[in-house]
Amino acid sequence: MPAGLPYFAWVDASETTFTSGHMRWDENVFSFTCEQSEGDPANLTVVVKRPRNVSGDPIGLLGPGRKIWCWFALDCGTALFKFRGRLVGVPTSIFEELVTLEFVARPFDVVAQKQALAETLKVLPFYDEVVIDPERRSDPEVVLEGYSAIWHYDRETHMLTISDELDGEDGLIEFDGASEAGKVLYDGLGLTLTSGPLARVDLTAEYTWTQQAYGTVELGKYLSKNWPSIYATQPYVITSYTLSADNWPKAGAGLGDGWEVGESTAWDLYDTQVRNIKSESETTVKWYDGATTNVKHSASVDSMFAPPASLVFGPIVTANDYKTTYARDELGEYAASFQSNFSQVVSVLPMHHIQVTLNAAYTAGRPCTELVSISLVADVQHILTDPEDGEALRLDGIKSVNLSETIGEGEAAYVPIGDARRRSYIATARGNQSVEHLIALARAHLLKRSRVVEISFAPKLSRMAEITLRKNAFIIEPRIGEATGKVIGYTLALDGADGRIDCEVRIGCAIGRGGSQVASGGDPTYCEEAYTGADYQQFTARTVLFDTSVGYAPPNADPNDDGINFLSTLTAADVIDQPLVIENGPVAQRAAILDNVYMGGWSLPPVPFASILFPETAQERLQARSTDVANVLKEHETKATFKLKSMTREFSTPYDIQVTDVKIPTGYDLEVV
Amino acid sequence: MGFEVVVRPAVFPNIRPPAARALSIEDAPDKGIASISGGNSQLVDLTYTMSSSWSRSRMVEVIRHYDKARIYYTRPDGTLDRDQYWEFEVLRSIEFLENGTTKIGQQFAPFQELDNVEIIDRGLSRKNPDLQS
Repeated sequence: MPAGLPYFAWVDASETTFTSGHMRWDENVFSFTCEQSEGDPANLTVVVKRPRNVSGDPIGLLGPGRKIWCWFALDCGTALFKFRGRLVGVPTSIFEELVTLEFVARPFDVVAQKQALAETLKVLPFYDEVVIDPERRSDPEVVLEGYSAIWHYDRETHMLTISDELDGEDGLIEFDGASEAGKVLYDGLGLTLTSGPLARVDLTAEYTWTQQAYGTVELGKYLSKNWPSIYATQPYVITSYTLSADNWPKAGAGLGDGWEVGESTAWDLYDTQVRNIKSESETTVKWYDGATTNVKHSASVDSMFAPPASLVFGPIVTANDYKTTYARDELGEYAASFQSNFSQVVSVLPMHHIQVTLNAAYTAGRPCTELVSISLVADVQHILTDPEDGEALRLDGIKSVNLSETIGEGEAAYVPIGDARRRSYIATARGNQSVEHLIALARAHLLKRSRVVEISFAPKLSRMAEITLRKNAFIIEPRIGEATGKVIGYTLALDGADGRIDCEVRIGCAIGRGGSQVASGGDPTYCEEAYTGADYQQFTARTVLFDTSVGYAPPNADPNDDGINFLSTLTAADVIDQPLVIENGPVAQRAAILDNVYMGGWSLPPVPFASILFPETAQERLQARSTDVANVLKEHETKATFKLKSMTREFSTPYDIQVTDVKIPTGYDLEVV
Repeated sequence: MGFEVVVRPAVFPNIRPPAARALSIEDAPDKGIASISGGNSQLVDLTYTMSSSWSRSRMVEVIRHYDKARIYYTRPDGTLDRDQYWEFEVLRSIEFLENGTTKIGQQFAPFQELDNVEIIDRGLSRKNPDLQS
């Protein structure tokens, strides 16, 4: 068959494979235009002679039962340029002799195909679901965010794929300008600059999680060690004139933000119970003559063990009296009886020696955020006189879901941060993948926008069958020199008026400087790399390649928090925020009492000495002494305060990720033009 | 140009998760303070009490009843010398007054005669001369 002959066959939807049987003329093609642009399905506009039946009556193209699919082919001499499409819309010029039909090579199951393809593309680092709203994860368009690729619709198979915007997957079509087939037509050559290249992408992202942990910290030793004392006490023993074991915090009592008493014990080391000892004696002597003499004695003593450092107040005599009774008989008066009473009160202010334990229980729920900043610069040729004028893109608003919550379901479920006790996400292996995703986002923008030069040319018809949007094209043409670019569009058209076939191919050429980045092992911070491997310890000055175009330095964990590492066993030193402060400890209390309360008993000035010996005022003085002590202790009550690090506090840590320039291929060298 | 146009993927801000709740990053120094206090200590009074007493009763002799006896000297060879003797009043009983009431004190058995003991008189009595009649 001669080159340039078009075929048109109405087919069923099931006829997805082109065969020789489709090389027929179901319609008389007057003219056609088949074109496809990047990201779109190919479409075919065919002008045909109005179809009629054998009776000469027009056939309704949209009538029921009509086939709406077609195979179109154009003989390019060396191969067939083929197109399979579906009639769309209402044919135009329907009442005229020439009818325009429009077909599109769009798969009828495009949604399902895109969904299925998108699922295969959900791989790190190009797709990071932690920065995608759960409601939008099923949106297939979202997956391409991190790829420098675009949807591609095959014009024959209608298979949906993606194609890189710089590097075509299906090979290179060469127009070397030397061979006959490698030449392009003089007319139709064009070169335009679509825009200035994107020089830099500044990107910020927030990764948030709730640092979760629970456990206990033993505080008893810390509190007792830092508790002031009149003399050295044993560990876990505190002293006070006011605080007793009953006042020690009980389980469940609050100790601060996220803290409560998990378990505690307190008991007084010394038994200060007052015990009373009574003694009585009575002796009766019966004399020979029947006379008797009776002698009685009784004593009552209150006693207690005064703990060390207790304050003892001198005795106050509350009773001191005696009396002799005389009797008279036939012989005269004689001493018949005698009685004496004596009592005194000694007062003791016991020092409480309390043996304590205190396990503080924490339940941490601390919102943590890592603010990641990346500034990625493209190594591109400047088309502006001042490179600083290069366009910069700012990507803000990238936020993660809560990284300590489970993503996914079933066996695929996982917690992004792994262990919710972690202080840093971005320094983990998963966090590094999130960094790489951010690089992928910025890199995709830079690569797409580096395709500044757009060249259109007219190849010979014999080459058009090779053209797809999944290929690159290389062209040598004296007027533009050499250029390599991604095929971003083509047009194949027949003008029925003159029978001329127009071919056009458009390529987009990146204006990078080429080259590739090199990885750097960096300096290990713990031990030689060979000892533990590269993924065990942190490094400085390390460059890990995202791909050959760009690398980055994995961030080392440097959380801007309060230093608590929930992954290790916590001690009091780890969790104390404000150290123990004791108001009115035992030393201060003792000094206050000695300054304000008289300690003696017998020589209490200004009470007259006589009144002491005859203690009518003893009860008043006892009451006064008790009141004085109570008032002093009320004003000097022991109060211990300390602050534990908050378990609800929010932390935010900035990370400025160091990245290399993005190496971009040199599709066209503007600097030599 | 076809009827159907597939636009390039556009990524809008609403694909991102909503912002996390905002909390104050700075910790308030005066919040979350743990405090241990309390207690109501008082003086413990220790009382010492002592009491002693004595009493006695006195008996006043009113009259005594007695026998009278004589004891002779016994020589070393065991013989009696009736020229040398001692006379004694041997108490039989005493009547006392105690608080105005007469009481009989302890009563003794009669003194028995022996070789060197002679009962001179029995049933004698004598009132207390100190008592006012």
